Amino acid sequence: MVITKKRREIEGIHTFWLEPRDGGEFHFDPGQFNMLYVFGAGEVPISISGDPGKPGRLVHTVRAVGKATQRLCALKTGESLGVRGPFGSAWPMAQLEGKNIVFVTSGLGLAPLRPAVYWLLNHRQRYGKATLIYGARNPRRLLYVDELRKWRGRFDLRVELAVGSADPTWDGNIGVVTSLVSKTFVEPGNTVALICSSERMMRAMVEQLNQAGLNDGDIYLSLERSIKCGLGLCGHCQLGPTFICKDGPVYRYDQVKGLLAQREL
Amino acid sequence: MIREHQHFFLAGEELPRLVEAVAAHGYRIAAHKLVDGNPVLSRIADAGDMPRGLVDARGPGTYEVRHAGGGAWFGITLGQDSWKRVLLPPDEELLAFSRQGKGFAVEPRSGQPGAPWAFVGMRPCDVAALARLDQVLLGGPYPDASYARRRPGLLVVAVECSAPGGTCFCAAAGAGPGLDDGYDLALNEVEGEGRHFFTVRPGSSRGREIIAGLDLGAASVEQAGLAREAVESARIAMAAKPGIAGLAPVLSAAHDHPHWQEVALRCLACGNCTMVCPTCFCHDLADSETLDGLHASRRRRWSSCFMEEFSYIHGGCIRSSVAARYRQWCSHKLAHWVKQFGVLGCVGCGRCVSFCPVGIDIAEEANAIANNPNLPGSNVGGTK
Repeated sequence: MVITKKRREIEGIHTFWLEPRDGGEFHFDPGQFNMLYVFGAGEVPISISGDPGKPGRLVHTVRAVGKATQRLCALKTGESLGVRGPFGSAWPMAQLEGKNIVFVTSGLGLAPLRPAVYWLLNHRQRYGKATLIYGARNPRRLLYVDELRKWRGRFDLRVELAVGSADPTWDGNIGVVTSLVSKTFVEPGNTVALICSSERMMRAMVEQLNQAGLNDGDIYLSLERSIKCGLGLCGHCQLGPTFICKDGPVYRYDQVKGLLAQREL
Repeated sequence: MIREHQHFFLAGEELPRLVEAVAAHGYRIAAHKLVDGNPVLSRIADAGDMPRGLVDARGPGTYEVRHAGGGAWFGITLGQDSWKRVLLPPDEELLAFSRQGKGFAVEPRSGQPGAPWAFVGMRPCDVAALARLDQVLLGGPYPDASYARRRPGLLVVAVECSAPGGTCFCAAAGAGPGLDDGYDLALNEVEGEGRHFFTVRPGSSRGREIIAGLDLGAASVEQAGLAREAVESARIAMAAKPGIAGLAPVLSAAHDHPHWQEVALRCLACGNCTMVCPTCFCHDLADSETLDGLHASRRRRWSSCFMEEFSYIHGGCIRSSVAARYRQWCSHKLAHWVKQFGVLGCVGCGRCVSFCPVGIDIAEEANAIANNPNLPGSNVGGTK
């Protein structure tokens, strides 16, 4: 696909808008990922972070960490990327209709959740109360700030931001993102949490959500492992008996709780 | 008319006729060939390339080819190669790309696919392993394109086992020493005490066609009985081996078992077991480009869960301790595979035991845990 637009989000993180060379649309479910190929450099699994209601443009937010992602982030508008996908399981948005939704995430974890936020806003009347809890190290490390500002202005989506440190111009919360969970409206039995962050952070998030009254079966999370093929054939992404690339990346927490409790699995 | 399970008689010296007939049906023949004294699965021109009168002596950490005297064609049960080497090669190009303006395109695949393979001398364990690979690589929603190109025309000329090696435990894996299905032709070689002959039974229409062209007579009741007895004696010879079926629940629950640490003291994490395993399918995809930046290539290479970088994600490796890597391999073969595919991932060929430099035996290690499932836990990982 051709890069039709590129935006630097923050240092080392870029968002790409992609369109098929021959036109056409790219349909996906929120939470799914693509394998992005950079000519000669390699292929990497990157979650889709755009609006599922706008299939004309595929959106990916990428952090430059390895050889392939560094080369990817150096690509310019007009250049091409190989795209295989979409792969993997999705946030079960249709199943969650009628529920209150709490999104809990930090750092780059907002990227895989953003399609679910779009979905909810596109079908706002089908869901109950909606809250986005998002944290970063400091205000400059928040992704999609313009959009966050717009979302904060809406009456039908509560946005709670937390940063580890900030100067006095910051009007949000200071602290760890998990500390906001208990402050949030949670109606046990009718609230579902969708979370995405590092595994260590998600453990803490689950703990807070449990304390707020959510059961393990009310929590969905997106997991990460080494993914090479995306097809369940190369073996790298196994977590116990599951293949993250085809059974995941999105799981209901109670289904993987036992696996996540084990070290070095 | 040839019935499916009718036994035919082939004199010991007539095996070349059978190989010729298979070749005449348009197959490339792969069989054991001696390279530097070791049996290596290679393309052969005719039966003359096959080693005769040799046997393989196998124990934990040892493998040796010995002269047995006599003229047996299939005295060597297994070499270090499994047939996955042919169907899922250790290193192959999957895709080639070339620059086109600001973009690039996938280059069309050049060359015609070769003639289908006939695997001559495949053992029941390896026939079972083939079914496992079929399930993994062809059974899902996205079949492996490269495997799928090589697999369909494959002709399986299998040989049932009469003399299991010291590390064989196919009976415990339910994968031998006899064959119920999965073959086109199944052979039994009876050699010794002045006799040398094969009984041959077709298992498919292609097998029946090849037999029909050879004009073979039926094996006598006595001949068929000798062949059957030899397989039974092989089964009995393996009877003392520890079982590996049904360990899935205990292994899945034994994550923190101290025995993993004990194995890790011996395990070198060299990955030999995964290379010689006929069902290990894990691989890496490696991309590269030419210096002028005009062409790029994606290759598939065998990989191993014993390599630290196998589980690498940004920030570190998930399985950094050897204990965690051994546990991954053993649990995948005997527990997770059952959940993923409904069968054991181990077929009991014993190659991993023979070619392990320190002779670690997967069945023994798994049973050490199964026999003491409730030992106090210890964290497998170190500090991660």
